[in-house]
Amino acid sequence: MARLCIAVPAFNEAEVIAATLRSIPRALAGADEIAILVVDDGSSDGTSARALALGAADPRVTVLRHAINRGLGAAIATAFAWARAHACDWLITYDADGQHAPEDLAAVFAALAAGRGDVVIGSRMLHPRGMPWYRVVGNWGLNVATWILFGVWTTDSQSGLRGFDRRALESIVLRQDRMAVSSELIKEIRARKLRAAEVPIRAIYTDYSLRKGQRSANGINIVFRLLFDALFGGE
Amino acid sequence: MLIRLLAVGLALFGARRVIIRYRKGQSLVFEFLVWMVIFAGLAIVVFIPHETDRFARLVGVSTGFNALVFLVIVGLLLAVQRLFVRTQQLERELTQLVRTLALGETKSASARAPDSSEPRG
Repeated sequence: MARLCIAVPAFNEAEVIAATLRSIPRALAGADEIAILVVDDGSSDGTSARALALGAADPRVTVLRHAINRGLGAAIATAFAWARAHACDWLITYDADGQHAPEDLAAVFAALAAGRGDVVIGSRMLHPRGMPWYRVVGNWGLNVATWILFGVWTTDSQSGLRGFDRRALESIVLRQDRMAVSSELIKEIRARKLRAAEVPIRAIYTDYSLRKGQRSANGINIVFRLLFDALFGGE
Repeated sequence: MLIRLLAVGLALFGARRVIIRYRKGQSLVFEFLVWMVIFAGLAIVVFIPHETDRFARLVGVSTGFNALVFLVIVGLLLAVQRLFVRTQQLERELTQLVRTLALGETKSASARAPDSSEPRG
């Protein structure tokens, strides 16, 4: 039985989490079973309570809660651990703030199920219509930084909509707890000799998602963090 | 002469740590190369003082005190590296603890509700 896990990392997303979860398709061609995993990363606004309330009516939904906030990377690594323990054949990460379209999730899964890559990145930059110019510049800057540091070129290193097959799920090791995890995932593609593919997706920008999304200064933090880790490393 | 021995000793000590970390797979090639260049540079410059004197004059300092400042900076760099690595290690342990707790809670919930997500196979 082919099992797909859709992981939704969430931090203080009570306002939109229910709508985001409801937007996830009930069925996708090629997946016999869909599990939705919400990883509440220490929210203080009742995000997990909202997700649990929805989960009570939808058996696909499981909610994990980090006792304290550890960052996007930590939440994604928790999703990886859960997906491995529950023998998922694929894992797709899906932002909680409502910036992804359900049909794009289906497109990423279709590419994964067709074996186009071990990792499929939903790229907002292939057709960046509607994306604020400073986001376009910031994303390209981080793409270049990721390429310089890790030698892998992708048009959207910071995308939140990514798919992983079983091979990727079992081989990728994540060390970055915070936002730098997005570039680290790209690094892992090369380190683990995985095949990567991109599919175009659109980003839905609302006042809420722009408010919640990465600030430009975060991009500088990410580059600094990656550089610092590249120089000093960690145990 | 003493300053040369001290500098080479420090460089060898630093390079040894860098090589060990790289061989254990705890550092990237980029990190390995940058630190090796820094420590090799440290070991080399003390044997070509005239070249460094020229550089010192260029930036406007040229007293023997420079050597002391230089060594202090290298010492601080090593200390910062150790602190950073230790902090990183603690952060990772904290995250692992938080993750284990989160996954454990789900396991308990699964035990109470058998229809929820159980591992297959």
